[in-house]
Amino acid sequence: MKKRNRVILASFALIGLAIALGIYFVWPRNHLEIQVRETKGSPDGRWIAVVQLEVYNSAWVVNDAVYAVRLKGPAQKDSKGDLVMNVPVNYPDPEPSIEWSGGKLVVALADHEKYQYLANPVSGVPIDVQQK
Amino acid sequence: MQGANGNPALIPAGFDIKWVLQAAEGDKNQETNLGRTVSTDIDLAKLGRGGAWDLQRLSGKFDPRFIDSATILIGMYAAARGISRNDILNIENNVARTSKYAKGTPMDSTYTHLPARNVTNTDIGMRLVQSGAIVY
Repeated sequence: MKKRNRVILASFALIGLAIALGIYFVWPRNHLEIQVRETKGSPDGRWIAVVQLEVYNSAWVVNDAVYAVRLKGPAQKDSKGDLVMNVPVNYPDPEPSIEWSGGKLVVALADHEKYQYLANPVSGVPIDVQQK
Repeated sequence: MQGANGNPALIPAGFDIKWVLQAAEGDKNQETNLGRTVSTDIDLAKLGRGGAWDLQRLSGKFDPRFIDSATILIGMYAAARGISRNDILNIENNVARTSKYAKGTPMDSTYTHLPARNVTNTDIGMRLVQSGAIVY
């Protein structure tokens, strides 16, 4: 085999190896599953509030699932929507519910439910958390 | 059976955890008789995302009812296989090294790449087998 052909073959092999390593390190370790549960548009039309199940199955057996409340719209800073609240998934506890009232986003949780993260306000929108 | 947060940890209908425990015992016996084999690695892979024993995704889609029991099953497998608590949590911790989690997720103070909930659920599974509460 000519030296030039060997160099070309070796290059393809290296590229293939780099792609395989990239897939191994990126895809399986930080894979996010999203299931949208509820959406409510704000009365002024600027924002859409979303409740979504987000499953961070980061690596092999590690599971971390939350109900995330996010604000989506042209001014959002996070590609998934600006994060308002994370509530850990604990079956049979229900997911948060959302409403718009008086310019505020009202997020309702079950009476014993606790959030693990809350930002208030988010993107200039005040948040009102209520326990049902 | 209760999960880390005190809520019920359910097992999907039609799935028998004895399958996993008997396989774990088989892996243990094989290693005792033949030395190190790959059967443990193959069975550990079945507990991974989308594997045959990934209780959260047996239907092909993530089901939040089974999030705790999926990790409890890992603890059960480890106990039946004879893997120590430290070893199974180190395995989980090492593969989780580059992981990202939801904002605010409480992390374990020893196995710092694991959410505390995962560690507690692994412990619950190990205790259930080691205490003899589950016969297989």
